[in-house]
Amino acid sequence: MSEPLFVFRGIEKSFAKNKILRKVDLFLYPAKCILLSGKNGSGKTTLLKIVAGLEKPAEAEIEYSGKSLSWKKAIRNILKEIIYLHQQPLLFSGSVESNVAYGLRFTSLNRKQRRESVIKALEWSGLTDLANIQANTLSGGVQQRVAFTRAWILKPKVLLLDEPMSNMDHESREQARLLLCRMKSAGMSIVITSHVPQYFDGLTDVQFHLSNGQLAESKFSASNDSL
Amino acid sequence: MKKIILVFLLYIFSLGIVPAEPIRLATTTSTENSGLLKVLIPHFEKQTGNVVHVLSVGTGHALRLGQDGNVDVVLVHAPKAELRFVDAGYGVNRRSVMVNDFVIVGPENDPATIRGENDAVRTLQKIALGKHIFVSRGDDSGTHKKELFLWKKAKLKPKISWYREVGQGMGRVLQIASELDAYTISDRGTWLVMRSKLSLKLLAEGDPELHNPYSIIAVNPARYPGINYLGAMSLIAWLTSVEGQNHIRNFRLEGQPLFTPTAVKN
Amino acid sequence: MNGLLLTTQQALQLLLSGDAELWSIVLLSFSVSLKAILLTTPLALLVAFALNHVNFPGRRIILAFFNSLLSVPTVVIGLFLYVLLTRQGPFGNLRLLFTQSAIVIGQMILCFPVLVALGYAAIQASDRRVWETARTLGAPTWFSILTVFYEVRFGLLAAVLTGFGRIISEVGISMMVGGNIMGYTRNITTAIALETSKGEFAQGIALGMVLLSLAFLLTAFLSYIQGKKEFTT
Repeated sequence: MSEPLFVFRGIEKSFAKNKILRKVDLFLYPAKCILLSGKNGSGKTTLLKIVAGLEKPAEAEIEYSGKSLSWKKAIRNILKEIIYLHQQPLLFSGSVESNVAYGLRFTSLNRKQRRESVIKALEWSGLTDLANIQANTLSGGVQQRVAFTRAWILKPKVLLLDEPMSNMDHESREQARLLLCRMKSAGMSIVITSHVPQYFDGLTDVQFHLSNGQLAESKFSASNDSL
Repeated sequence: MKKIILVFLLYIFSLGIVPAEPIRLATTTSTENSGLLKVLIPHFEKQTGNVVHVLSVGTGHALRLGQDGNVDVVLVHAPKAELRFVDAGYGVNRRSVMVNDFVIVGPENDPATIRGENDAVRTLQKIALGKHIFVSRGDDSGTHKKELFLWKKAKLKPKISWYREVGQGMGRVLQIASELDAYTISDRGTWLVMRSKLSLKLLAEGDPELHNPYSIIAVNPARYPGINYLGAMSLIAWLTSVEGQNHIRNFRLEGQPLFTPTAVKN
Repeated sequence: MNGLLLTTQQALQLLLSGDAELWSIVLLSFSVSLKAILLTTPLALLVAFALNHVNFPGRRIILAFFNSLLSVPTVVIGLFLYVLLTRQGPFGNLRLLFTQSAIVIGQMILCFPVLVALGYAAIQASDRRVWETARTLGAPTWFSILTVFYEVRFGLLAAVLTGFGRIISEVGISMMVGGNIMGYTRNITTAIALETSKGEFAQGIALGMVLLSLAFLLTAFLSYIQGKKEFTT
């Protein structure tokens, strides 16, 4: 097993007087997919957002590239290398192309490289024909694909998906699953929260369950188990 | 298109920039209303290259502005207040500039029968006796001070039932008097400008008590170091010069002469 | 009624003939108010954003404070500013009284709460996910804020237009700290006050018509924006 890309240790978070997360540890390995299950409100989203640098934990230590830093100090790197995708993706007003290109302006690519990158990304996800359509007029499944592409183009080390398939029809789910498999084989570390582990057969490497603020590894359930 | 907007914005922004230090002159609304300054000031500006900013407010306010150092020079017509101003050390180099007069106007049918009177005090006595409505500036202006002086001389105290203090400029006061068919006292300049719009008629004039002398005073530079004293003196010099005085003499309002210059004795 | 028609006719003639004095007054109003709104908007919108996203103590009180400032009479602001700027006053040595800058400052004070209150409402209506998406995609804080602004741009534009409408039609501040100086601080509203006091109703009505048309245009534009806002959300 290779070195983890990121290790989050001792994540603590409270809302009001409730401890949502107690000393949660998370190891993120390259080309591996974690499935996170748990009741609604158990803190899955909060955990993901903390990992993504979008919410501040009461405590957390981050290890990466041989360094060990507090969450606050590591945040710049986290925001750069880890991307979080909402359950319902939010596409900015503008075309599909402008959405996909959004994050590129903060990289060191020049204009020509950015254009090429966008063209390649649109091909990768089969969105080339829709490049100039207003993004928020598209169907849910296609919007999801745009969101994936928008994230993928930045080549993040870690991708966090919050209930990614919940509003999709079967065909869209299949397409999404394929894209995710491709991303994983390219080396990305993926964390998915979901009620329905079956959707991610063939993708998931390990499954965790979050309850009472603590993570426990649950038996890796193949789709046969639930029958 | 973007270029046009940019140039337009630059132009708009540049409008606030004043090239040289302006001379701030506080004067009275009646002076402004006569239109004299509109004629005089451009001549002065062209000749001397100065820029004059004119604030026209009531005499009391004008003197206050001078006292507070918010203007550089004042041009007013209230001799007693001017002397107090200079005595208190607020102003220096007071020079007499010109004189015009006040007139008493009222409704066409003239219920107080003051038409043709040339005794101002007797005019006011008649108005008070008949309790005819009289509109007063009530704003501490030169006109107001003159009016109060005349009531005092007549040994009368106007009663609220017929005396209306409106606290506004001469133009407004004339309009109000016209609406109310009332009597009022006005400087001749504003009267000449407004009379065609009013229902009032000029009824009494000529009493020496109705003379209205204008003086110009520079704000004391010792009180406010940053004040544009040289600019103020430059304006005073020009207004009291032969040329300035000639411009004043030649000024016509509605075809009538209005001011008599008093600075240079021939 | 006859007099009114005649005066209105004269007013229209004045306007259409391109009377220099008249149009210089109009231009002055725009110059001053544009400066004020341009200078105020960035800071006010940032404050509106902070009030939305940062949870600091006293947040509610500050918000209530800005809302209460929405209806301050302009003469009060004018008077307050006059006292500060007069030579005798604390900022007297800045020699700002009776300058265009004084009016700009006063109008900035006037439109700041409008922009904050309405900007706050517009941003509050925005989707929280906009901020999070921008951040997670690597946008620095300042760009993320701009992204949020862009997503609520119609609401923000409405705020700016409302603020502009308020300041271009005010007279209390312009009179008090501007001094109504011809060619320098005489704007539409103070000119109307002056002209009508002299009985020159034609000029006053002409200027009034300009102001009314502007108000009408602003309102029409605002409802057009409102329509766009509803269409895209």
